[in-house]
Amino acid sequence: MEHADVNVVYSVQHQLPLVMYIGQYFFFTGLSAGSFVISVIATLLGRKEFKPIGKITALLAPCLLIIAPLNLILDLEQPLRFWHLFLFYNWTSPITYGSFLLTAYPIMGVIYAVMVYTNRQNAAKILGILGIPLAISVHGYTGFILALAKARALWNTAAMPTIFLVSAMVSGIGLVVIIAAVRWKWFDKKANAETREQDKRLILQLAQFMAYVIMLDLFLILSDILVLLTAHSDAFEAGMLILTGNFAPLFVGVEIIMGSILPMILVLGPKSRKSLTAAVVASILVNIGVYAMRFVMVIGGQTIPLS
Amino acid sequence: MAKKKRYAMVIDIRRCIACHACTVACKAEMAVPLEVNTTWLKIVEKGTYPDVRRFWIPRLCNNCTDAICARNCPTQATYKRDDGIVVVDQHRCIGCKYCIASCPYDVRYINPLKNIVQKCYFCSHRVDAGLVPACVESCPTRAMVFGDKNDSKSEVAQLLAANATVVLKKEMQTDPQVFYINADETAMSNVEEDINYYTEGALAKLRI
Amino acid sequence: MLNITRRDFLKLGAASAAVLTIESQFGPIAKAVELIEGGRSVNRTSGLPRSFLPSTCMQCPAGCGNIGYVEESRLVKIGGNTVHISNQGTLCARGQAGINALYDPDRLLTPMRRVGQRGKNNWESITWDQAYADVTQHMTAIKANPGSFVYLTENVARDNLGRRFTYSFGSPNALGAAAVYDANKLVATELTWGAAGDMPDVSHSKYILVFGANPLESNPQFVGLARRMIDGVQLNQAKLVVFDVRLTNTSTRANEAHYVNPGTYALVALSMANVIMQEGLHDAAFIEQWTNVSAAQLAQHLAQYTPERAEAETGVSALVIRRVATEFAATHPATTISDAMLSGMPNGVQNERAVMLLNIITGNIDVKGGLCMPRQYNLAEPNPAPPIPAASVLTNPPDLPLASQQSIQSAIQLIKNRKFNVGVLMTHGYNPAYSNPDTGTVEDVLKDETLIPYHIAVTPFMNETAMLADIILPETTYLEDWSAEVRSSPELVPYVSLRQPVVPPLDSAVSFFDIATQLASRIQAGMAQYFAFNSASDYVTAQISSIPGLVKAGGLDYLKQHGAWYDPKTRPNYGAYTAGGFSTPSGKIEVASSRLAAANFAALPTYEPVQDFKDLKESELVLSIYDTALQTDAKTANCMWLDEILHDNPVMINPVTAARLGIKDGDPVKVLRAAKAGEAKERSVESTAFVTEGIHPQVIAMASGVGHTAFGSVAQGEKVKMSEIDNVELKDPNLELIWWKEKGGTGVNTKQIVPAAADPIGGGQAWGSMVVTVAKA
Ligand SMILES: Nc1nc2c(c(=O)[nH]1)N[C@H]1C(S)=C(S)[C@@H](COP(=O)(O)OP(=O)(O)OC[C@H]3O[C@@H](n4cnc5c(=O)[nH]c(N)nc54)[C@H](O)[C@@H]3O)O[C@H]1N2
Ligand SMILES: Nc1nc2c(c(=O)[nH]1)N[C@H]1C(S)=C(S)[C@@H](COP(=O)(O)OP(=O)(O)OC[C@H]3O[C@@H](n4cnc5c(=O)[nH]c(N)nc54)[C@H](O)[C@@H]3O)O[C@H]1N2
Ligand code: SF4
Ligand code: SF4
Ligand code: SF4
Ligand code: SF4
Ligand code: SF4
Ligand SMILES: [Mo]
Repeated sequence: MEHADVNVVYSVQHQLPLVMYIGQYFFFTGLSAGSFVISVIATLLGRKEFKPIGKITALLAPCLLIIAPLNLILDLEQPLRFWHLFLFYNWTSPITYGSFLLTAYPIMGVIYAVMVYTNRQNAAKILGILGIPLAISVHGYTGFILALAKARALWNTAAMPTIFLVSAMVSGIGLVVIIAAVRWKWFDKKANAETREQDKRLILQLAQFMAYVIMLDLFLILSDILVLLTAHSDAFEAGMLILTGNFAPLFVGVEIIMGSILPMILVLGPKSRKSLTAAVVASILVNIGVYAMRFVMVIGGQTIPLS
Repeated sequence: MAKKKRYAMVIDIRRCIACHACTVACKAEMAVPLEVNTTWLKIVEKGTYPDVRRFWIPRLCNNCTDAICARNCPTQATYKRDDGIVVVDQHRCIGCKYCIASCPYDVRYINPLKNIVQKCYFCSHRVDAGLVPACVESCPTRAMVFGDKNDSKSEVAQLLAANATVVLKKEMQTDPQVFYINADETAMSNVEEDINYYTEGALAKLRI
Repeated sequence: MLNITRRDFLKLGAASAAVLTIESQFGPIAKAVELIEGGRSVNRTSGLPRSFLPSTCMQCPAGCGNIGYVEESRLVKIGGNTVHISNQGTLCARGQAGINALYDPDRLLTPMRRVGQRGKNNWESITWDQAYADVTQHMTAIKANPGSFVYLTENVARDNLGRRFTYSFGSPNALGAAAVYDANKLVATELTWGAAGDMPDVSHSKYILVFGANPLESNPQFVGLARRMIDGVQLNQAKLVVFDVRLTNTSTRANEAHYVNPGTYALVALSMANVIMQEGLHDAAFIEQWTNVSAAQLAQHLAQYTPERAEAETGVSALVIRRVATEFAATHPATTISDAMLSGMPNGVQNERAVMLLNIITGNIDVKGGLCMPRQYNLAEPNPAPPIPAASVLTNPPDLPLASQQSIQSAIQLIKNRKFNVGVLMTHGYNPAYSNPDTGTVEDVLKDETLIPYHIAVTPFMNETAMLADIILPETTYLEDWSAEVRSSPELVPYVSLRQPVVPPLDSAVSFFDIATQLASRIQAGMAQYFAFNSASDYVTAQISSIPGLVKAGGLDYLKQHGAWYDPKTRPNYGAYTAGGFSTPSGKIEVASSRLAAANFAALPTYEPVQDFKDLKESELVLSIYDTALQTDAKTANCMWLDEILHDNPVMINPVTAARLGIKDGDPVKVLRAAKAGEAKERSVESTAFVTEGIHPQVIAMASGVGHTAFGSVAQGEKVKMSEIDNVELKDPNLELIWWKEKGGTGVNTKQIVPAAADPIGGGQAWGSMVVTVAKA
């Protein structure tokens, strides 16, 4: 709270508990969940032209999800005790259901990838359908981790899990676009012109799809902030922190303008909408934006003094 | 049958002289390392010369009835005892720090020497041995009072019955069990300001 | 209503706590429903009781009863002793942090001899035998002129062993730091009612007036007085009115806090006295019977101090003076509290007498809840007692005829100007190179080998003074030492407290008793007879032999077990003077002091403006130096738990003043004092600005107890690597976490710029008369 005539003579503040390992972990699970969903959509649609994308993403999802928990374990003060999570689980803690999800999801992801690569379409479809809720949960729970820490006004909103999911989709699609574009440019030379044209269109479509998800993301963020600004004083502080305060450059500048609005213009704008380069640039920006968003949320959310 | 014990602390700010004895008592009792604090004073200065006053409150874990730290701890390392004291099992804690992020009062910290989470346990080891907590024992002016609030004969219960008390961030619905008599509103709220230079001392500064 | 409940409860609580604790301390822990208030400690993991020994704190002059809790011969915690009548089981931050001093990584654990130039901090370790031989050689060399031996200690009245050592050698020159502190108060009270010191009975007061003291943060009886004062204010509903130059924790707790122009307290007090006399609110009977003036005489003298005049000079409105005076006189019982910064002025004695007068004319002298005379046991001087050698210019400075306390400042000046030749100097538990005013001159004198040919420092720590020694004898800390302690009791029931080792001496540290005994036996046969005790505890036994009640209760054995003793049947004997009058020449309270008159000072309490404050220019400010609840002068700087909280002393400055000087909060600033007569150049210190509303616009304030240039790593905020500590007992991983130097610094020693200046009557240092200028650095 702002008190013009108050001098804090003495107080103690403790070190921020959660550092960027956690943000990074959120980022990677997000990417993983995003790519898994794209992969499953590709598989379900079953069209030949979607196949390459389905394959890349099927591989990406579990790979990313192996990197992600590494961040988590590195962040533990007692990493060798990580198994306590399973032995001494606590069902009221989102981390507990997270740990089980985090175990189940990559296993499922690997099996799914095997199905995709061995062309067992039906099995892949069934696994994919079963896997989507799992993927959503894996990433959604990270949103719950923040949302259920009610101490922190910036986190403690019902929109948080959804925002995390949607931004995960955004970054996941972005990553797929980048990888698909790289494949198209350098590793897909042998394919015939028509396929190449088709693939390119597909990538551009994906990028456009990303733009629509960004819109959804922006809407969610807007509503979240509006609520923050009109709720209790800490929430107002939190809103102001990211709108005009210390974290405004990252939030407004990097996340919103550079990471959301600019990419939208790039992939939807009349001049650049046909350009693969624009789509790739947009996707990179999107990922930087989402990474920034994780930073703003995790670190910024803790900088509002609790006492 | 006697009612179940429910330990609580009442801090009578009218008696507190901001002497920091409680802080140092805890440093010794709980082997609290430098850099971190289990209990400390928050002191603010309000007003304009010559109408200016200081206001302060000793801060510590509230040993909440609805302890969100315990609810969110994935390993049950943090749990509530039958007598209401919220403790951390040092051998079970994995140091995920989620409890720190969840607690609305910034009273938990990572012990930089042991790499586990610590906070105030109302000196449960002393209470179990029939002693009041170390900070309570040391308090030169008896501003801190500790006891079973379910025992109507206890000093804590009587103080609660006879005085208006406040708790930190009631709106967090954690049901804190550290009650303050005559605490100043500003000292109780989170003052958003760069921690200042001070007459009284320094602080474990915010570090990222 | 609410308070009654609380009061009744506390009474009940205190009573039951007393019963419980006496039992609990020495019997098994009761598996009772009620939790025990103190006197016990258990291991955190096993829950098993820790072994313990009661002793006496020495982190400040209050001498609270403490208990050392030990595990595997390591001191793990210090708690309060519940049977000690002053602190009653509690302990302040400094008392608890004593453990840090005991295990200070820079503790001196072997005797050291200077190598190379003095003050260059080059030393060789020597054995105790070599050290004793070295000292003996130097002492023997001055045997023909024993009076050239000078002994400096913190409180010479309490340093019985030091006095004995000095006297038995044949020198009268055992000097204490008292003059640096409360000499003016001691002299003022002694002149007025024939006893040195006072004790406000605050827990029973209904009205408490505080002048230039801060009893809720620092006081010679800190814990004992603060807890009683809070009782007085909260349970007894006493009104608390504070006059100070800045916002303190005491003034923040007050019903009214008034800012006073620096140095003008006496005028506030005297104008109040005037109002009381004019309104006829005085206790005429008491004045007639127990003072040496008549009410009419006094009223006439006071008539010059009108509230209007006071308003003009003190800044306190006449309205407030009238109201507070009337309230004070109408409310019984009432008392004043005055301390260092009231007496620590060039007009300190008169200030104290002016404030005492308020109690005198309202009949609040030595009544329940009033200003009482000190109650304290006297320890015996064990036989055989060395004769006290004839006085010297150091013990009785000719320019201070009334000063009953020796003046260390004047001693330093006399030595500097070669009016007194030192043969050997011994400093013990006293750090003048840090704590005295004008530390520059003290340092110069201590450095000069022609002035101080040989300097023995007896100290557990390498403080600023030890740095300037020729030989250092590493003494034990107070936690490894024996002594009998008596104090003016805040409960008005005298008591004795025992200091006994709670752990054995670390490494090769040796107690002062053993050092003195060893030296005495080597220096001369004549000296040895005065140190023919089997042990320090025998010496203590002899000291307490003058207290029959204690002897009957078991003497030393009782103390060893309980730590402290008071006669349980004794109640405060208010009005003790009615039996035999006051110990003054007239047998009455000397409102008009014949002794002052004889020495050509104003006999009646008089306001004497501080010369330096006259015609202050707008650019000039008054520097106030204050103690805090976290550091004691020159002593606690090596306690990391205290330093972590208070390690810095930014300059408190009023926003209006700061704006005028273009200073913003956090700016680096320079505090400069112009050169005084005889000084080559001005003195200055640099710090940062703390802009706060809580200070008089004409005053700046800085905390003392920080800014050390010696004492080692902790005091200087330096991290210590575990690998650099040789003694395993001193290894503590916390030392690697010391952070405050990096994040704010370790402050400055303000004494560097304080000029040595004494009240001409009392000889006490005038801390509060310093005029400075402040500028952005
Ligand atoms: N600016 C300013 N200066 C002041 C004051 C002030 O208010 N403002 N106050 C003045 C007053 S009132 C006083 S009394 C003096 C005090 O001045 P001093 O008497 O010099 O200071 P002390 O704090 O008593 O500590 C003296 C030394 O005792 C030693 N010591 C510490 N612990 C132990 C122990 O356990 N055993 C033994 N044997 N020695 C130990 C340490 O070496 C320490 O340096 O300072 C004066 N200086
Ligand atoms: N906690 C604690 N207790 C202590 C000590 C300690 O360091 N800390 N030291 C012990 C010793 S040795 C002593 S002598 C006593 C001293 O204890 P006190 O007598 O309390 O001495 P100070 O704190 O130095 O001064 C008291 C107050 O005087 C105020 N002051 C008021 N008017 C003036 C003025 O006109 N000029 C100036 N310059 N200041 C003014 C200051 O703001 C300060 O708060 O306490 C003893 N007890
Ligand atoms: S104050 Fe915080 S740490 Fe303590 S019990 Fe409540 S939620 Fe948990
Ligand atoms: S840090 Fe320890 S106590 Fe806290 S939530 Fe994690 S496991 Fe539980
Ligand atoms: S109750 Fe014990 S653990 Fe809690 S703050 Fe007090 S001393 Fe520390
Ligand atoms: S020990 Fe007591 S008086 Fe001192 S700061 Fe703590 S609660 Fe307040
Ligand atoms: S007031 Fe504090 S430092 Fe002084 S003797 Fe008592 S406990 Fe020790
Ligand atoms: Mo002192």
